[in-house]
Amino acid sequence: MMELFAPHLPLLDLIFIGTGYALSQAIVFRAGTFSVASSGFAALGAYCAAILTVKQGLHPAAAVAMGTMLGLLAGLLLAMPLARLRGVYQAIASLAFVEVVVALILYLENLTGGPLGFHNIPRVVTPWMLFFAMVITMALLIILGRGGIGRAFDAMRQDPAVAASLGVNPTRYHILSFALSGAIAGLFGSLDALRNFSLTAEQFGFSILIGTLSAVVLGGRRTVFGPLVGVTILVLLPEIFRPLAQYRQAVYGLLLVLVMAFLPFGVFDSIMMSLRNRRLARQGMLPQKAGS
Amino acid sequence: MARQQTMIAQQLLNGLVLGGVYALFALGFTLIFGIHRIMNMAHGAVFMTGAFIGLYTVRAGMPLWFALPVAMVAAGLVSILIEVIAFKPLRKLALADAELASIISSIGAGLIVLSIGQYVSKTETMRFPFGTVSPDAIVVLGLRVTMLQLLMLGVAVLGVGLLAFYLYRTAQGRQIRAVAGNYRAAQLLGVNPDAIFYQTFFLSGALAGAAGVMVGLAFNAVQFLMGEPFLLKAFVAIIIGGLGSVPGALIGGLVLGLLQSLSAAYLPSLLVDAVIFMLLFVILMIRPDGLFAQAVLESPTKRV
Amino acid sequence: MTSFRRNLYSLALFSALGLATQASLAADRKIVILQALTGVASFVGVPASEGMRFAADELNASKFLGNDRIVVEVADSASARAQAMAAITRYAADPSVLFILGPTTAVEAIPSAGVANDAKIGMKAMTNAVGLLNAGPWGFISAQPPSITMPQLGDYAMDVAKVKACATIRFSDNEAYVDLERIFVEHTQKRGMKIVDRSGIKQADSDFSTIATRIVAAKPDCVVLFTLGPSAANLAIQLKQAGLPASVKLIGQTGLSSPQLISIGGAAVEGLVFNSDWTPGGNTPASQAFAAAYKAKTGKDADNWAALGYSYMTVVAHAVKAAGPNPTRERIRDALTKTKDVPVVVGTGKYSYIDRIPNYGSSFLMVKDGKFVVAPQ
Repeated sequence: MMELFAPHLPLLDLIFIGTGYALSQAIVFRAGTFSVASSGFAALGAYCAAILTVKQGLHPAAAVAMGTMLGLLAGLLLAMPLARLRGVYQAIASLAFVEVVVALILYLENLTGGPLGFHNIPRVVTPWMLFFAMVITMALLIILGRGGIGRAFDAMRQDPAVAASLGVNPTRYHILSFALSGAIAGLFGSLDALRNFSLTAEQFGFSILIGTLSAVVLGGRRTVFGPLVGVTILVLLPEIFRPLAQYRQAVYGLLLVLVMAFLPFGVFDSIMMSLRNRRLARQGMLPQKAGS
Repeated sequence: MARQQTMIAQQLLNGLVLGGVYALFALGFTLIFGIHRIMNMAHGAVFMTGAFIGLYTVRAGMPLWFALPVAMVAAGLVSILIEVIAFKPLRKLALADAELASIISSIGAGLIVLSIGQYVSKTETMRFPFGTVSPDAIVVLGLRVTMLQLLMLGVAVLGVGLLAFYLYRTAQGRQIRAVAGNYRAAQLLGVNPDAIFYQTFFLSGALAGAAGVMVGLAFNAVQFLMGEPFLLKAFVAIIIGGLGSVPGALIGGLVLGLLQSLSAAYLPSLLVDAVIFMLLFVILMIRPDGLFAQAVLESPTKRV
Repeated sequence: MTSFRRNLYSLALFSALGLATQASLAADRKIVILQALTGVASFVGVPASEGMRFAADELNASKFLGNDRIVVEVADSASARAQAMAAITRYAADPSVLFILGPTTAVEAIPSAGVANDAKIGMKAMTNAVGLLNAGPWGFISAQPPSITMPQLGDYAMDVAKVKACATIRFSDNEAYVDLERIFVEHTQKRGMKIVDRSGIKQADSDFSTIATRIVAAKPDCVVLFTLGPSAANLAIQLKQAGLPASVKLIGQTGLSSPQLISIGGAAVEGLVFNSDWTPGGNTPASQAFAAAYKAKTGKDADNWAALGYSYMTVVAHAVKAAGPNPTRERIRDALTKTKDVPVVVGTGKYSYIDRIPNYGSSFLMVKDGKFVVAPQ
């Protein structure tokens, strides 16, 4: 069975790791923060794990743990400054954070290899490990989402004032969402590094940030499966359209525009919503339109 | 010592000229944000379109003073097209939901425009024909100022001036400023929201197009990806000046240009980006409104 | 004869016939051309793959592999490492694929070499990044590394161009060019050259006003450009705009070998000298024949990348031939490692691997009257 998958393994890698990054992104959206800092956390985790494994000879499992911790720490540090801003300003500040991380990685050549990249990282991580990491992360987020934390996030996103009056301490949950986001991104960044032989700073810059953001918005940002759907679509697209290689960018762009126009809540989420609405309508539980 | 001073002065001049172009670019972006609360991520693609149209017009034998307005009009029209494709379908959504969706949608629209540029240019880097602008330079107070630099400064001043005139002195401009994001009120006042969208997007596009032609001339590189680095840097200019503020975008652009020039002159090149983005972060922390706070619609900081 | 023995004889006869038929059937030797056909490196990948294809057609026409023929399949890496890696995995799983020519850039090729070594398929990338070799014996580089070419360029600068104080400009976001500059500086400084300024630019940059101003103020007698053609052309223009005197010599390296250097640079690049793999139009009978045939077939002038692609395919074909009548991936890898004096159309005409480092010499070209000519020696 593995032979069937063997030629397409790199695609699965991309889906598993990409979903990890997208989940890291989605969780801060769920808590009402417009932050795109995930790729910055991932960069920190990835380089941390790579440097510790290659230069310090640390056991890969320990290196991954350190990478995750570093991501978590960065999330904690970023949470408070971003809490003071709103909406688009948070986005720009988090974008600035990512660009600073990328620029510093490029500058600290002795540590990170700078523009030359960091190479010859042992391939210790297997596709199964990536799969399990993804599944466990999704399970964790589903459990948290169904519980008090999820409800708190939803409340904060929809109406911070109401949330506060309900006794939800926005600061605490805000920091929690960032800690989770940072840890998840740090984890998957470390796994990425130990799977793909080498790292460059650019791979965590503006384009992956846009790619992750697109995947979340495309698939759906309210559910845990939305990011997976979004990432899968975006990973499979270049493969399906290989004959149209020249126009791949245009197809990608058209896809984004069309999905946003017709399914603005994301492919998966929109489908889930319409299914739920249909079920509610059948049960006669939808609010009546005025005048009918 | 005198040579050092001359070099610093020359770098300041470079920075000012670059800043003028940043200002044009930032103005277009901040106009859309200020009026509609939309981040138009396709702005870089519109900028590129202006450069392309300008280049092909000159290649067809037209003089520069003709090609520039043509490029601006073309870019303005493309901008309107992007509005219709990417933003119009989302107008019916509540603002909170629309924000993210419209960002993604505009990214998509930008990619489509980029693809067209890629196809048309076959990914090659093109340049304006030699002699489009005279290579002469004049010497003012010991500084070399090329004709091109004068042209860039001139176009920047003209662009800002025309926009300011339109916004502050014409009836349509007053309408635009009054509407600023409150469509219900606008409709009650009898203003057609579509008209507002078309005007603002056209102006935004025209300014970006002008910036594109200037950059194409100045840096001899007209390429389908030329907009990308500008968009990122433009964020810095806009935040410095204040999101949604017209004079702010101008000042912000100039400050950014000077900052970039000076840091590139004195710091290792790899550190320049780090410095600029760290500055952006710090400004957002201490004064997110930027320099010109009153033009911003909502407070950028949380009230809770 | 019992029926059993008759059956046995029939079986033996059929088997013999079967084997004989198979032996005389021509075998397809499948080589995948994996290059950046789209994306930022397409200006290398597209002509390179055309040169490779052209070589394969020529070799088949001249029956280089006897009855067997080279079958090429062209794939696009889109200048993206993820796609390059995915493509290598995909082709490695196809047993009919013997070898992969590519990828194009160091960024794609270095991690791809890891994949190729994992999958045990030979891979010869366009790049000269020596770091690729660390991944294992299955990954090969194709272009001469700076440790070979830069001392030659440095000596040319000091002995022929007779310059003493240089400013350098390099792509800081491309490993190959960072290495080129570093080795050039090391070598020339050891010989007593003064390096008055070292600047880094990004490949996507086009605003060089600040750097130009600074370099002009440093008063060098030469400027050395470690970039690609379009950027170098642009740098030359902006340097002159900033007031660089005409007496300052412009020097470059093989990355400048493209028609865009002249079409973008115009008068600003007159007199620029650089070391090159390929002399446009050819400098030997073999390379001139290639240039003519390529122009006749494709209608385009062969550029540096097409000539290199053509040469690399030739080298791989020689390895396939040396691997014997049953070329497996291992045998091709071993034969390639032992490549010696394969006739090519670049450099001084003979390609060898010495300790897995490519060696084929270089020539010096100059821009004169809007054309590439051989530089004064």
